[in-house]
Amino acid sequence: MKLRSLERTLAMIRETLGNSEDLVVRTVRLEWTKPSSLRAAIVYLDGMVDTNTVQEAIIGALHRYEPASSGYESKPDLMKTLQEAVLDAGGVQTVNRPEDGIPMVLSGHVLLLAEGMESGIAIASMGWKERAVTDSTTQPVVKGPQEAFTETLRTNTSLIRKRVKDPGMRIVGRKLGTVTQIDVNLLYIEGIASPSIVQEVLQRLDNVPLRGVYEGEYIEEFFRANKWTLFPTTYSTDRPDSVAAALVEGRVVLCVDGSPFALIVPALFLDFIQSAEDYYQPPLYSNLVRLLRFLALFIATLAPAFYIAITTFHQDLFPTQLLLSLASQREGVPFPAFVEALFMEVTFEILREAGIRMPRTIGQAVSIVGTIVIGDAAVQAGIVSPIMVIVVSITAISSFVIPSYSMAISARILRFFYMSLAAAFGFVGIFISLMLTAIGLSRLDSFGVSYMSPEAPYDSLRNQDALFRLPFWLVRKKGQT
Amino acid sequence: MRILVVPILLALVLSGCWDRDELNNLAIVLAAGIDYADGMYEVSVQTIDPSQTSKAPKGNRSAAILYSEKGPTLVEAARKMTIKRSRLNYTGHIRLYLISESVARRGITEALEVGFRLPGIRPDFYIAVTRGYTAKEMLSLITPFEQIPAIDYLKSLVVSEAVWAPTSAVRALDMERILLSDSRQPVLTGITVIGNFAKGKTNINVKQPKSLAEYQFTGLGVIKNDMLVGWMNESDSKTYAYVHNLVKSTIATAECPNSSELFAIELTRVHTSLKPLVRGGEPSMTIAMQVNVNLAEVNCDLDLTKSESITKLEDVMREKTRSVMSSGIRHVQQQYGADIYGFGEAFYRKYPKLWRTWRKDWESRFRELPVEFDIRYRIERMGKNKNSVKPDPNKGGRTEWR
Repeated sequence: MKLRSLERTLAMIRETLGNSEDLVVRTVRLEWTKPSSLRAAIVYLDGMVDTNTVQEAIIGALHRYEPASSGYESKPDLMKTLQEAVLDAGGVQTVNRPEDGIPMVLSGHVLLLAEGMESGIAIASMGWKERAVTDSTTQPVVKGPQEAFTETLRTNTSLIRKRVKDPGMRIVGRKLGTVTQIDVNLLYIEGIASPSIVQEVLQRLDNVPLRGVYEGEYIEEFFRANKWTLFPTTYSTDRPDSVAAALVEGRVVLCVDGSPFALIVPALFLDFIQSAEDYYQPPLYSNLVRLLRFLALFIATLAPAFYIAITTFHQDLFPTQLLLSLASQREGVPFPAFVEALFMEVTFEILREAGIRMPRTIGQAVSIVGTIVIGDAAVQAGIVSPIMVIVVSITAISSFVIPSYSMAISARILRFFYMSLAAAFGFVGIFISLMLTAIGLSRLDSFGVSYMSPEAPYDSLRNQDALFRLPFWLVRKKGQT
Repeated sequence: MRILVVPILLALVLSGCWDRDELNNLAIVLAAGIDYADGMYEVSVQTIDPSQTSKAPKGNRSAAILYSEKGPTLVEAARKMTIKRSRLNYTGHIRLYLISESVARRGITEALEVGFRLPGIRPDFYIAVTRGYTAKEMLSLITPFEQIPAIDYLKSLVVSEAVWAPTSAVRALDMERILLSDSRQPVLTGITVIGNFAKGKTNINVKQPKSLAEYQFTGLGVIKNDMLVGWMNESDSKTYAYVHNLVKSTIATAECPNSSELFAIELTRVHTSLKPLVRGGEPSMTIAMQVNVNLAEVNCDLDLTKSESITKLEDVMREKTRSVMSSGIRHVQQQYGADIYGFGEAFYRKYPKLWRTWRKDWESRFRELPVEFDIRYRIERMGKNKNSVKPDPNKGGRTEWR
């Protein structure tokens, strides 16, 4: 135990943090120590702490303390006394050296140091402004919980805890990002989750070499088995009920401080077609809607490709009346079908990206007006045929039916791939591209679990909720989801 | 997996997109017509003018464009058309194939060969023979209902075949099968124009409610050994359809049992089966028919609430059917000797060994073949009324108050 001058320690802290404007150092004199009063200091960052706690539970407690006996308080016991008897605040932990206390200060703790003491106390008293708990922006449901995660990790984990009260719920903490030191919490239910997956996730987390981690995507890219795959292998959601359901299924969830999106691993293909709302509506309806979603998935990826393939290679497949109508529409259109399709698709993607960034007030008008007017004007100008506008619109709307945004992104990219193969080889091209997709999907796995299970390999137990969900009263006990 | 990327990319670019045809480079052929003149075949094709079939046609042009060209073989004539037109014929949608009567009398297989062989021509087109006019003229008619005449003919053929027994549509696939058969001879639908054909070729035809020239499907033509030998009348054409179970619905009229007024029935269901028999080493055929009908139009003075009346009507119709069928078949037997009914095939199925001895001179046996009928007739429904509303002259008033 070295003797340390408080002044020098405080100077050291100030210098390390570069005399930051929001650093607050408040010296306190502990009157009740023997033989003489001791100087102590608390260090915190303004704006990161709850000033009430600081005032009442720390400074106030330090002043008010009256030792039980008038006996001598020896220095080694001081820390213990302070922690156990003096301070009124909740989470306290010992910090062995002042240097270790600096990261705690940066996380919103209050560091309590005393003259001549090597060790200090870090008191958890975070209180910063955060966004209120509102409803989910990306995955809203009509009937069901409307709460969504916020940017504060602890709030998010508490929202999850509210829904899973099992004592087996484990929260493992890590700090990621060499510079950012962001808190990342790993949640799983012991006894349900597979230990190997948990191990694997932890291992990968510890191997993230990035300097800054701001969102789940930074971590997600390290979780991919096959780095170049189009399909997402982790499911991100901002709904606590989805996370709770995933935990009960045995999955592992990662919450990143600063992001309202939680990552769920392992994530399989069918998860991206399912929506939380499927479980909040009667089964017949949900199953029909799921069917619709599959249909929408096919339309969103294959519609332009089919149109191109049929009109350029396989005109005999149309009913005669339709062919006549199409032929009359394409009269005078200068571009081949593929170029037309590409042109319209790219225009639509531009409009969509622009719509995301538009200010709310003009955003709606521009997106509607943009699509209709541009489409209509292009038809009038004779650049594209009306049927192309219809195909592209249906494609675009179908892609919104897919509940998960990451899968919708994949669908968009795939669409262009199918279109180009269709333009070159017709149906044979579409067939080849579908085969390649199927091969790619089958080879993919998310943390050791095959991406296409429970369909391939077929697992009848898990299949109760894969494509279509069984009514809850029919679910067999073992496969409970 | 990554190894495949390069070959795929190469293939995409190097293949040159062969077989690719933009829609506006195709002339979509809907009907083709074959004529024969001066030792050469004349092929006419009716294609559409896409700018006229859209919602807002510009100008006052015809929706269908007719091209024709002569050549020693059909396909040469068709290809030669490119000297006159801007697009290559796209035959993937041919629905109707018209052969003029002169070509049919010379031999139909020459005209049909290319239709069966070329893979670009779809195999379900209908075949018809034009009577009194060349195929080219037939394709020049302006029809009232549809913008494109070929579609008008086609739809009429399809509908008429379903609801009117004397019309039968012959498809290329069926034709091919019949031509390959040992004994069976094909038939072909006939089509003709009635009215003022010269005016029918122009727009004036459709400028008033009653067209000046109309097309009409007539009875069936009998083909024997590749050549058209004669036409059947309406009554005889029915027999073909009945024997081959092609009738879905039709109307038949007969005289009332106790008066000279007429009544009509609507056929709802008919099933015919051929029962070949051998009597004394010679073939004989029994045709069994099960006919279910509804009463359609009744002008008889009968009390239809009694089941005996219904039975009387059934008897009349049964006898009528029997006489129509037997006289029709006898006509064909005696006049043409062409087995269009597939009797030979029926015997082949049931008595293959005997068939081998009969094969060579099947035509003479066909002419002599005795045909009997076993018809079961049933009137099922009477429609909305029971007795006829026609006033009964004897009773001076209505027979039934309702």
